[in-house]
Amino acid sequence: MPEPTLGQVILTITAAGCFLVSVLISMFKASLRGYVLSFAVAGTVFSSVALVWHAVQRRSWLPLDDNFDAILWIAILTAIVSLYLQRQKMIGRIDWVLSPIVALLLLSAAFFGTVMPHSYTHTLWATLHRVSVFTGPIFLALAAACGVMYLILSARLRNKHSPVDSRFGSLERLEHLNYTAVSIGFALLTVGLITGVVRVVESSTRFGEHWFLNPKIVLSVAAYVLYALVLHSPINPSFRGRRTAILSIAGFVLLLGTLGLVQVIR
Amino acid sequence: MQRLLLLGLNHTTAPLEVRERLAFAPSQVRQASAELLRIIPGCEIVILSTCNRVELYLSADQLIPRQTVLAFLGTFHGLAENEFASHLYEMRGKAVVEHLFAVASSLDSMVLGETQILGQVRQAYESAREAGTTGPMLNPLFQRAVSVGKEVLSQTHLSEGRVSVASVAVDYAGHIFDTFSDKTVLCVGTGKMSQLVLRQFAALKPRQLLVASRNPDRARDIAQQFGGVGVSSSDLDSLLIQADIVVSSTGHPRTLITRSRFEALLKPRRYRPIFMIDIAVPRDIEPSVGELEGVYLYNLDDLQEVVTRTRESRTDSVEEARKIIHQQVEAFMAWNRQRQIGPMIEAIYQRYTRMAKTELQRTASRMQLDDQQRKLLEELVHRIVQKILHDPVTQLRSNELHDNIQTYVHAIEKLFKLDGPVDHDT
Repeated sequence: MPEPTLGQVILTITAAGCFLVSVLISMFKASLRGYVLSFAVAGTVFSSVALVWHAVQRRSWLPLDDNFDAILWIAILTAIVSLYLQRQKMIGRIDWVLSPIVALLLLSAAFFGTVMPHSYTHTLWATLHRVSVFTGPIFLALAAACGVMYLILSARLRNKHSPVDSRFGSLERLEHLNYTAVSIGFALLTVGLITGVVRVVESSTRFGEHWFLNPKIVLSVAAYVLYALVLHSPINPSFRGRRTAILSIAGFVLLLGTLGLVQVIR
Repeated sequence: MQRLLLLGLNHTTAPLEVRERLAFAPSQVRQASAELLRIIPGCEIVILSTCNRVELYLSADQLIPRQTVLAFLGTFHGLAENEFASHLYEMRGKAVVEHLFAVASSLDSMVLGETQILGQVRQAYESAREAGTTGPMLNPLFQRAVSVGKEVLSQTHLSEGRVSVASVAVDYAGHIFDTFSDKTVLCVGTGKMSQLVLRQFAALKPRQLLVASRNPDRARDIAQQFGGVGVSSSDLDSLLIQADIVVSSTGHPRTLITRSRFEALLKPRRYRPIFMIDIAVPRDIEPSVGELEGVYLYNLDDLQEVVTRTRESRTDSVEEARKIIHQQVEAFMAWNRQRQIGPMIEAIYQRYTRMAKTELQRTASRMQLDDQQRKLLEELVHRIVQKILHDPVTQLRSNELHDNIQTYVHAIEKLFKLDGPVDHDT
């Protein structure tokens, strides 16, 4: 399976640059809304072109075939979610968090996603595993974004500062969106973990005897536990609000660590 | 060339008694325009009449005398001229464009950054357009004014924030809660200020609006005004468990809601966020209650500070807004100049091209010219015409002649005989 070309890598880095420029304009010159959206759309288009180019090059349209392809998919879908949510006036500033995440994903695809081609289509478990572990983070990224925005807004309101601007949304909406995103992401993560364990058991030699101590698995399980606590908040409401927000962010940081490790540990 | 005139008054030049007597009710606008059109035939008219201003925007080919409009205003409203004339301001030409753009952008409003005026400018224009009193001058002018107003309000911080304590409170509530149809608003006390805040919250149509007082009858009276329920404040704890928004203004000499009291309610409240506004002096709610998880506590000073900051921020944005207006005024004037002098420049070129062609034919008929030579001569006269007219036309199009453009246009029409038949033999 061929590696991404230099052109694809450059295109991916350019797309990451577009998202970074977009978020900088959004933060420091909010009045130039048209430019914010234009750069975000340009970033999405560039990364999509890189994805298509990569698919044409490797002569396969199956998604998630290798890590470059998989991370591009996550980035593009997250960008689309971000663009959609920006159209919802009450939470238009979601790009402040999601765009840097997209840029980070694109940069990691450009720099690390080039070396580990996978062939996952051999078994149903492997296919399910990759689809769920690469789709789940899109929702969990959204949950983390809502968490960050919740903390910022909550801190500003508590300190009697003006609440950034009207497009920042309300605490209630951010909390609701966070919970919904975690619910979906958690379900996908559950499928990902179960199918991952099945894969490990199927190829017992892969991670060795102490497979459960593998950092990738440890981080995934830790993230899973954190998200379980988030979902626990309706039962124990003392967990709601800022605690939920912090847990969502921490869970996503662990998940990013797992995604990073995926690049080096097969 | 069309001439613009604005005659009007506003809250800075005229007291309310004068403004209300000169105001045009919506039903009077059409009649007033028709009347004015009868006095100044062919005139374009837009009447902008709001509670803070009455302005007549007029455009006509000829100079519109101030006295004519004053007489119309006096007759229409049944007033003697000396009752209002001294309060009127008069603007002409570019100053009218500048003023209208500033009005649409709320720079001329009593409350800087208010957005209502933009709608009123649009409404005044729409009414005039429907009445058929707008034309090639006022149509583009008002359309541009509305778009400039939108640009200023969206590109600057002029309309951001709130400028009253009550609206600031509602604004903050909107950052805590997404919907209000499932929320309970509790007002503890029946002071005047709390009623002002309550009025704003009642407009959000909460699920339940409770007014609590030691005097249940008084509570009931106040609650009825806002479609709420009056209750006794004796069981304040259970009311606080229900409430999502609390407005407190009891005038009680000691603190009503202490930290320990409210901390005990967090669990029964299931840690739901609560927005508390303490507008009582002395305060009803212990400040440390605001440190509890999910509690957003504001007192009168906090809200007042936001109002002050908003006012300052809006004032800071004025310069930015003026810059946009200045650019748009220049762009509009350039466009308008082009629109007005364009046909005249075209006429000059046509006239001299025709003259050159006539002379060329006259000369060519005496010479034995082949096609090539004839073509060369045609190009020569064309270039000469272009070169002769280049400098005056460039000057006409430049900004330098802007202030006296009408004088120049009239002079050119006379000098170049553009208002009469073209003499091909000269």
